[in-house]
Amino acid sequence: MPHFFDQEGHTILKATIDKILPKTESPSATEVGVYKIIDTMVGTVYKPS
Amino acid sequence: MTVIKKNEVTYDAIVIGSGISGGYAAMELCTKGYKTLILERGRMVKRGEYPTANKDTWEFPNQNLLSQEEIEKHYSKQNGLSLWVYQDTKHWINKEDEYPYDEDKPFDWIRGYHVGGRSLMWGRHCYRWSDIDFGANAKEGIAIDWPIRYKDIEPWYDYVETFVGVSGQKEGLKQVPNGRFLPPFPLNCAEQHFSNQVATLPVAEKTVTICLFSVVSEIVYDKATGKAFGVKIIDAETREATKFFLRIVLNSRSEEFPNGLGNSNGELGHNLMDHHYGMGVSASVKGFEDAYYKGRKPLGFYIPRFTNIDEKTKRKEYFRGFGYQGTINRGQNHPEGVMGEELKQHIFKPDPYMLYMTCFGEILPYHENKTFLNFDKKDKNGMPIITFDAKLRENENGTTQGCGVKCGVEMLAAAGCEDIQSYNDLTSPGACIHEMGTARVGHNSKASVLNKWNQMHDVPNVFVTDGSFMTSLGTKPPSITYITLTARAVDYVHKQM
Repeated sequence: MPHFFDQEGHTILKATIDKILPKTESPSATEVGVYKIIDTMVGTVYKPS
Repeated sequence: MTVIKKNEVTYDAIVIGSGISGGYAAMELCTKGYKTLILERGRMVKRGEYPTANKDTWEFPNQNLLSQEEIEKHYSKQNGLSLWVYQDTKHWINKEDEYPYDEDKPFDWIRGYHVGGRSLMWGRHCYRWSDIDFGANAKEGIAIDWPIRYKDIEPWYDYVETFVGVSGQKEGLKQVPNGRFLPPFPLNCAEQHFSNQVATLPVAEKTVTICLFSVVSEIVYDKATGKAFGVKIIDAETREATKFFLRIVLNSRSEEFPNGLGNSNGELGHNLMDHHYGMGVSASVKGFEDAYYKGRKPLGFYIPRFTNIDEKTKRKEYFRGFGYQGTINRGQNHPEGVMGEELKQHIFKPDPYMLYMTCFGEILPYHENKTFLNFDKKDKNGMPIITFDAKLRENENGTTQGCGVKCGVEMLAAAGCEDIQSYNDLTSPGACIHEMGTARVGHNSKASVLNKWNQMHDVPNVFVTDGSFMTSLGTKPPSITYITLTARAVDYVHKQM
């Protein structure tokens, strides 16, 4: 269950993190679930401001 | 160890609080054959029951962080430095909404109510005080003289270090007398694992009685004998009041009686101190790129105070000085401005070695820095609320502070470090979790609460052996000196019986 980003937000988030850490002979950021950590951190740790 | 329900019983000795001093006192009393009661206001923590100690960061939610909402609700004062409260430590730290305190000036009071107290959380650096520390007040005409010198407690340092197990290297420095050391950890001076659960309480276990959720409300004074004859407690769960009767009290919570017991000269609660914690330096250390380390060392390195220790190092701008605690390690390698495949190549290699060191500055004992109880405001147990009124003053603000950073930067530059960064922030007292003073030892009853045996001038069967007995602060981490004077005080009591 997403905590912060909606579907469109997730699409942008995944594209962004894969620019930073693309798939090479090791997996990409999206493949190891970095977007889930970002979504949970933004949604549950930080306040809206 | 017997855990009892509250009853009206007579004990030879009552120890208030089960922190590092209380645990040591109970062990010494039990070893000498006294029927001993520990009153602990918090919950039981048994040896090995540390829910997070063996976990890694990735085993906690949100990379070990608490939500901002949770911090604001429960820990806003104690997390003033954003340093102490995490998923893996929050169960050792009180919720401020449940255990409130007041500040006339900002004070970061970081503590937890449970068996073992902060002996479960301490930094484990153990260095002996020297006569440079004990003699400083008298030499500089600040506050009052310590009633003891190094030779008075040297055998007691030997005694407790042998029990605790302190590792280190004998450097022969006049500001840090050599200890009874176990072999040092490679490269660094460090100290082995010691907490009340692992060390003192198991020794006391056969004979000690521990009474949990017992908030001490009063040491009951008997006018006829001039002695304390019992302790009144309030049950933190039922709010019921009970009395315990005794022959000796080892009181680790003296600040609970700011206008009462032992305070005939008005000194109780005054001279509150803590290390100034707002200075530090970091840098990258070149070389050793093909080497790595493994395991988790308990500690890093320590640089003892080097200013104002003799005529050669005398500074005219300030009294006393500062020491440093630090670590050197390799972190994650993610250089700025790099993306894509190139970033991944960096990430798979370790970062250069980074050095971090924090300065511990000595705050002088000022009568004006104080703590007191507000009897007009009560907590959920009906106990008056404690209020702190302490701040850094001229010696810390004007001069010592900047010098701690400047010396750190100069040292790292001279050692060939690169990318040297420093910070110099005004932190609140309390933040270093080395709060001391408020019931100091002294030569006479005019200006001190305790005599040189940690015995209350006013009430001879009450002894105070936690950090409140400290007459000045020094620059060293204090725990080993607390337990050294605790063991000495118990021996003194024993010889009087």
